[in-house]
Amino acid sequence: MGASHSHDPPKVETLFDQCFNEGIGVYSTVLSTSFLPEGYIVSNPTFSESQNWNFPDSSNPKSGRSPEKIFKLLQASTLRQRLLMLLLPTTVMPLLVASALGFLTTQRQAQTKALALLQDEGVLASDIATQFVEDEAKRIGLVGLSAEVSQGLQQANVIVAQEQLGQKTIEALEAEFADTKLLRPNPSLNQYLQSVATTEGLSEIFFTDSRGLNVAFSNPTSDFVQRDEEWWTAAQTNGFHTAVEFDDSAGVFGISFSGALINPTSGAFQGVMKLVVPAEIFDERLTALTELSLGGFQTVQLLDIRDTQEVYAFKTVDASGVNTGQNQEALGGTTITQIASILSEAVERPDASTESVQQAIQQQTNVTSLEVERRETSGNSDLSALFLHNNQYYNLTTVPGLDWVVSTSVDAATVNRAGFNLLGIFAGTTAVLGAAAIAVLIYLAQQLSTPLNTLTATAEQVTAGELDTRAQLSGTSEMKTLAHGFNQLLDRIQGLLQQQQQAADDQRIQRESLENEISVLMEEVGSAADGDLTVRAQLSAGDIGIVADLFNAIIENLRDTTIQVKESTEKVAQSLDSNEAEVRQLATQAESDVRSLQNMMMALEKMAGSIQSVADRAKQSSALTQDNYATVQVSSESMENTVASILNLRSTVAETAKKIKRLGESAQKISQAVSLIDEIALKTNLLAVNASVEASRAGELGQGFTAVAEQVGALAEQSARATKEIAQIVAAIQTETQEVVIAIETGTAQVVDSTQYVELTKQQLNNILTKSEEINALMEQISDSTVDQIQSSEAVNALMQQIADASKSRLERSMQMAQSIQETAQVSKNLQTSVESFKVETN
Amino acid sequence: MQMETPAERLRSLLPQVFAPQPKEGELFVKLQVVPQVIVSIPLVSIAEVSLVMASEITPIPNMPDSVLGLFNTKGYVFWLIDLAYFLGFSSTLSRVKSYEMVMVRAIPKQHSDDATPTTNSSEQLIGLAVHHIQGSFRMPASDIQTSDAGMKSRITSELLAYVDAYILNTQKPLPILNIEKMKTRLIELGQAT
Repeated sequence: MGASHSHDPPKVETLFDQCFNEGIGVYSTVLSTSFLPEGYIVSNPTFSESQNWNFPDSSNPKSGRSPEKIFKLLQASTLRQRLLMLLLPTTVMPLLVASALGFLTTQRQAQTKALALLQDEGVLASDIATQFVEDEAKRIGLVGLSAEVSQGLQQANVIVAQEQLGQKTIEALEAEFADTKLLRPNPSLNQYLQSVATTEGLSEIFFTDSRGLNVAFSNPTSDFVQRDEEWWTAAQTNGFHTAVEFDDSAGVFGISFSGALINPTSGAFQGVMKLVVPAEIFDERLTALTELSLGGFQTVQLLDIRDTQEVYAFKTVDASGVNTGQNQEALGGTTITQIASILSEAVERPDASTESVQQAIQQQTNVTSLEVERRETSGNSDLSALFLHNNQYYNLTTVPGLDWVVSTSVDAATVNRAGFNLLGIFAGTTAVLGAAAIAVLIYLAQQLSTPLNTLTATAEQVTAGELDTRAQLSGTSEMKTLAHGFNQLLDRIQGLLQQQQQAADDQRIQRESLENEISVLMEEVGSAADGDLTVRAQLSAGDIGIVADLFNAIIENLRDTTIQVKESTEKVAQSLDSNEAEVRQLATQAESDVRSLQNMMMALEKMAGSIQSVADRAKQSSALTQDNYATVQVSSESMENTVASILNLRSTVAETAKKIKRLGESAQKISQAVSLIDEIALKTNLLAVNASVEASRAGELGQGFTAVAEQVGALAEQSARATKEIAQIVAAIQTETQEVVIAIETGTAQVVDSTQYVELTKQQLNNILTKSEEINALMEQISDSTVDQIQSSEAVNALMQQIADASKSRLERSMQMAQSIQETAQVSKNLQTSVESFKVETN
Repeated sequence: MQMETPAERLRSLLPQVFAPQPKEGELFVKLQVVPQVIVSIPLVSIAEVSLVMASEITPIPNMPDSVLGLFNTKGYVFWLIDLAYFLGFSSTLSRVKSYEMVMVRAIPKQHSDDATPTTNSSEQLIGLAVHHIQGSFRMPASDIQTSDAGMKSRITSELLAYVDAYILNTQKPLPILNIEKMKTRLIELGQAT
């Protein structure tokens, strides 16, 4: 199954996953189908995942098969099939897994190696560039130390001092030396420089004095004063400078190197020498690198970092060779140039850690699989970054001491493909080993199953009836034992069959003799069937003899019975004749019973009707009593009201009596007051008389007073009269009051009496109420009892009906009985004639 | 209102007292002896009338039935006589708490012409208990008639013994008692016992 990977999977992970998943998938399938219950299989998540696996080859016989089918196959197949089903996966699967793992491990190693190679190439290229630059710096130092150059510089210093050129401006100097472009043309020195350029393959070499004025050159330069050039100032300051440029004067594209010329003895700055190396020279070294290690896929690019903003590629090396140009595109675009400038900037700062650089790169770009590494080599340090960008693996390595960055790149597919050629080997090995294992297994299965198959075929033959067949003793020792046991079993069965045959024959002979005897017996006693009970069977020895004896006994008994039956039948016939008349009489009587019962029933129904009417009347009376009861209740209530009002009246009368008594008391008081007034009047009268007496005694003077006294006396007399009248009136009032009191007392007594009468009436009404309730209860009882009576009369009626029915049915039965008796008489006559046919006595 | 002196006020209230109209006739007092019998006596013979509580009278044993007892007032002690009993009527005064009493002066005969009574040693006071003292009245002398035959038949014999004259202009002739005769009779009665 694993051998069927015929196509090239594009990704390592996919391949690995497939191999792994298939391996596990097959394993779990075997597991689940062989050892686990069916229900568990369905709910097993591992198993359900296995249904989603994408088997690469649909022609695989197992791939489309559902687990149930496999299970059935396992259940139903032959031993050979089952062996193969179980053993094949068990053998092939580890092989596949081992192959896949081996392949994957190898491929990983190959990839790592490829990436390491990429890094190595970067480092190598960097080293080459460094070497190249160092060589050129050494060359500048060598040339600068030569006697000719030293002389030229000394002369130049002298000339500058003599002509006071130091004070002149650059424009003035340019104008002054426009013809020669040299401070003092020195053909021999120029010649020397030309020879150096020719021998060393340089496109140009010249040097200036300490003020940047041209001293000598191999080729004429475009300017005379160089101190305004960038390279000059850089070389003066740093001692060394490189640049990639298109040299106008040389007319070639090259790499320029400029270095400060130092007096070896004094160490003073004497001037700057610049030489331009054609790019082709550098190409030669890089080509060596290409031949050395480029696997044919990598591309090496040299990037010059002029400043952080400007990066450009000047050299590209790939399988096709070295390509040098001024305006080459940096592979990978701005991302690469960004990272290159970050690295170039970071390598200058030894304190910058790889982590911070890595962080800076990740912040600014979106490259993946980034690894930044710092490498220390002989005092120099460089930074290298390995990352994946646009399906290309890039390795950027800085060149120590220069603003160059070496970019090596390789297609990610190429890296992934590394070690992929091993796949064929692994696949082939697996296929061969798998085929061998399968062959061995098939042979083994064959070996195991063939003797069993043979034995099975033999057993089937035996089952079909060929008992003479015997199994061959072949195969393993177990198989031989099995075959031997089988053969013995067959022998036993054959023996048993023969015994059975013998027994069957014996039985047949016995049966024939028995049949003969029975036919003799049948002939002898045949006439018994016709009613001749006088025949006897001949007694003989054996079983039939016993039967004959038994038969004789039966015939004898039968004869006796027949005789008895004959006698009884006669008796029955006689008694039947006599009974018939009685039965008829009985039937007649039953008929009359039924009629009288019907009459009785009618009378009962009438009675029930009259009871019903009594019940109705009782119900009516009950209703009337109910009404009466209600009326009496209402009367009782009004009577109670009357009692209440009478009681009120009583209390009112009592209050009136009290008030009148009080009136009497008041009259008494008036009477007392009147007697007081009477007394006063009496005294006044006496006083008046005394006054008159005294006045008369006074004589003439007292006459006026006497008149007054007389008037007072008259007044007293009037008051006495008035008091008398009042006393009379009061007495009259008192008398009348007394009378009223008596009348009220009488009234009170009458009220009390009437209250009592009303109470009495109320009690009587209550009595009436109780009585009417009793009447009502009685009426209801009457009603209930009439209902009971109706029910009982109905029950009586039903009973009568039952009796009538019963007597009717009795009548019918007596009729039937009479008929039956007649029939019985007939039957008995028939029986008599039948019994007559039996012959019981020998003539 | 002008401030008046008590005398001025009395004068305005009782003009008769200060401007007396001279009246003719003699003053008499009517006494009801029993409810049916009324007699009169001259005012001049009366010393005083008053109410006397029965407890104030001291009964004296061995005296005639008409004498109720001794009575003391204003420094005088005198006899109290039941007039009704004395005049021969059945008395109504038994079992009363108080008596209406007329204290009369028994004026000697010779002094009967003198109009001014005197209180000398010869003067005798007698208390007459009556049923009721009716009051005084003035009667001109023309209406007073001395006893005649017609009158005698209308009064009892006991009464007749003390009556000298009658007043006529009333509904029925009113006898006038003679106090002296009564005194004399009383003395006789006192001596008899």
